Amino acid sequence: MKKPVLSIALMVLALLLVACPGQQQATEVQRVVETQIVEVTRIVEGTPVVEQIVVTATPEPKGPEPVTLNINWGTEPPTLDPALATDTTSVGLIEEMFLGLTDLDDETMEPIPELATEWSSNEDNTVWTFKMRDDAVWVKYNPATGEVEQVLDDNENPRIVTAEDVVYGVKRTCDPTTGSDYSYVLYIVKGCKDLNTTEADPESEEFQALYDAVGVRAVDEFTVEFTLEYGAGFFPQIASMWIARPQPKWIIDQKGDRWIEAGFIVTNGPYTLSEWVHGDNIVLVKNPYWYGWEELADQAGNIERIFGLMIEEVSTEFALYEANELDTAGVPLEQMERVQTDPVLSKEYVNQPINCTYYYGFITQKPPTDDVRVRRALSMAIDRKTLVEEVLKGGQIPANTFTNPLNFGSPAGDPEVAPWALPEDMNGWGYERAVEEGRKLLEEAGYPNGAGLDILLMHNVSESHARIAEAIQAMWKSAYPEMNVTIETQEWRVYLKTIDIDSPLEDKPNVYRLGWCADYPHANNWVHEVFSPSEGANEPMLSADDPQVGDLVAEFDQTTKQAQTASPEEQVELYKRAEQLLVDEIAAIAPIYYYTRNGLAKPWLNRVWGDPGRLHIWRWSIDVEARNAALGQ
Amino acid sequence: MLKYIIRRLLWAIPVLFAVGTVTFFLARALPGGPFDFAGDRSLPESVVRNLERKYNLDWPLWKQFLAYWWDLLRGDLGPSFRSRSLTVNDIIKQTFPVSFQLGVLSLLLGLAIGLPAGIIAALNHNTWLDYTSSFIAILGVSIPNIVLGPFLIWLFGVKLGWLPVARWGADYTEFYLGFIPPMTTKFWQHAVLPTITLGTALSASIARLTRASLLQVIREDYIRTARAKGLRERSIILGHALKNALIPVVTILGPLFAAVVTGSFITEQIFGINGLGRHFVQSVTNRDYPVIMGTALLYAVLLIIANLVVDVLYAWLDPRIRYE
Repeated sequence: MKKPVLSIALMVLALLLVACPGQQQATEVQRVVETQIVEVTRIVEGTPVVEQIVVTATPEPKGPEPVTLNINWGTEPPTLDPALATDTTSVGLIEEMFLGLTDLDDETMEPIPELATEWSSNEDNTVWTFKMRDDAVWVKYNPATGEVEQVLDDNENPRIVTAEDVVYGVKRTCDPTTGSDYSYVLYIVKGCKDLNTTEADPESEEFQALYDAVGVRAVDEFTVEFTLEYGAGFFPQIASMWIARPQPKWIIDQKGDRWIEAGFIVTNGPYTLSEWVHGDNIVLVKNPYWYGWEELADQAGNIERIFGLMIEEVSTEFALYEANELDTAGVPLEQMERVQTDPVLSKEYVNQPINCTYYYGFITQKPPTDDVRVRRALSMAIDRKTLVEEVLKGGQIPANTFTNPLNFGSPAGDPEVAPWALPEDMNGWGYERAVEEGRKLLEEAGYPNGAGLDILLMHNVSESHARIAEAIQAMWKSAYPEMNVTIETQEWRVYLKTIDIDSPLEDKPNVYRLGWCADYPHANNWVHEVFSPSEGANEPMLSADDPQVGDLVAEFDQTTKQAQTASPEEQVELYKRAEQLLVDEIAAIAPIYYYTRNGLAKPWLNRVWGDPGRLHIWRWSIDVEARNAALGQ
Repeated sequence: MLKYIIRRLLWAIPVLFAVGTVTFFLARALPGGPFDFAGDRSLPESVVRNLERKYNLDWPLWKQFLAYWWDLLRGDLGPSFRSRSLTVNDIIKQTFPVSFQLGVLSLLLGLAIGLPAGIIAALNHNTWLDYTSSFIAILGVSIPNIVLGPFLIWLFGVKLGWLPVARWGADYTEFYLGFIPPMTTKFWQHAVLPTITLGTALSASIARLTRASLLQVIREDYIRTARAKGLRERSIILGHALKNALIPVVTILGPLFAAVVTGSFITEQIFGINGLGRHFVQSVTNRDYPVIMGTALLYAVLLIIANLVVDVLYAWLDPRIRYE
């Protein structure tokens, strides 16, 4: 009678045993005497050893809870190392912790002083001198005391951020053994490319000579001078980038790749790292020694602690926001309508342009898109207005240029550049007239009504890209009823390989999709670095030997190079010409829309909606009373 | 029996080597390398070369292969290409216990619901009880986690506010390499929704399998014999039928166990749980070779152990099975 019951019980037990190799009772942490287990990772000959240190302290009369901002970074940052970062999350965190020579204004994107108080260049913009402030200090978080402390040098003096730190940071980015993905952006600095591409043994004298030859030097303790390969008026923008920031040599020499871990990292910005649970959360705390809290007091906010999550799923982020566990969040597409109509959420909603452009590129050497008339006709038959309003619904802006309007030198919205891409209410032709023109072009090219035109459109696997591709396929089919559009998708890395300029032509589609976001807000980062046939990534395979548009390609190449050394007024004209060539006359790409970000912020949070890579959280503030009242605390 | 277990464990070595070898070459056969691109943009060849040199990817393949096994024998699974300051050992140490806790809880929930439901359905064959439980089982199998998870979050996390919306309730630093969660209210509150999400689908398949298997067994001759002997129905089912009917269930439990404790990508993603599931998927997308290898080998090890446990359980469930 009892036995079978017993067997089932035994089986469940067996399962439990497999599952649980022991039992353990956890006890609630007592509040009387604070006992904290602090994990200290120590590297002994390269192997990390984790020790648990019990820190016991008599509770002091506790001050008020630090003003904490709850935010979602969206993913685990791959790194916090300024030399290695490439993605928005890492860059965003680095921005809070490391100062640049320059910063960028939230609205105008103009370079403004940060570490450098002033800068100047020689006549042809090839030598740039930055005068630095002398009161930015290196700090670190001490887990034992829970305080942020100044870092002392061997003589027990506080370490100040000096020109040498900048020189080291730049050279470390250029150093091939660092393995910096973005080192190529600094190829503009004299000798950086030679060092970065050398095959010499890092121990050799030849290597050292190249290292010393990089065009950056400390003129005195707080003056740094850059020598460039060619004159560049936009260098102060590049100087704002993370890869050119001062880096702490003494810690990096000591800890290697792990120097960015909590407990090791030293920083100099408004916040510093206190805890990093990989894949789950990252906590930044206020650096009270940062000069800005006093000097920029009129702009500074009151956030003392930033508790950051790494939730990848947007709908979960949104649910956390609704449950008041996040103070600010993004809006998932499927919630857009609700957010815009809901009486409460609509007041918390912000739609804001960001510095990215979504576009379709044409492989200009693959028939039938080797014909400029076909390319133009296809670009003309994309109804950008309908696409953003009916399909995307996120407040995106129809694009008539590649360079996003948030950059210096962008002629976005100028009806002299591809006016057919703009709707009538933006002073463009409007869709009907554009399609009419497109039909004429196709007829000239030998495809009346699209008959005989076979186009392969490719994008990487993604629901949102698919939705856009299907909408555009439908637009093309209705404009040119007899044409044939095939859509193919590939997994991300396979896709990037396929459209890379060096891949075989037969594997490539006619039309590919990509997006571009600015590294620094200047048209050079767009038209030149992406499409220059001689120096850019050039996925459309533009060539000056093209039988139809070869001359125009040569002109495009010349124009973007000329713009690099031109005066600001000349640059505006040159970049406008470059866009006319790229988008209209050569029609290498069809710009589709400029990105926007759909964000939410709780009413108690007063935040800046700037560049997503530059959140400037030191300027945000939380009305603690309002928050407590709203949460019923 | 002991000899058998030792033999099986020795056999595991060539199996693991084969899994590792195939994974190693398959991962590298995928088009595109880990450092060709940063986000959307392709990197210049010189930059890619620097990165490949840093991680020894410029070595000939055979040398990389031997180096991998040499490091592995010393317990070093290599660096992660994506998380530049982490090793694969770090990643597994931090995420595997979380997935393990979630997986075991879900499996227990699956068994707790699935076994009784299957038994009740089989014993009441072709009655409304059977149809109802079959209907629920089919529902459970067909509602994907990606629908159930957000629904539970919306209902219990946002609307009613009873349970936390996301994340796992154990302090990650507390169980560095331990798999036992702290038995706190916080832990259980966080565990409820993800466990239900993952456990429902498991319980549905377990219920269906139990039902089918039990239905087959109660038609066997020895059951008829037992009935003829005048045994009570209750002891026929529990004593004779159920034990035999469980053999197929136990058979799938082995691989199922290995699969769930190594993490469920979708459930972990929906609930923002820092588990291992994400690394299985994203390492392939990122071409993060050491993470691909590490997760595949871990999975293989668990599968081997789980199958061994299942085989040992067979001997106990069915006395005819003997291992020598």
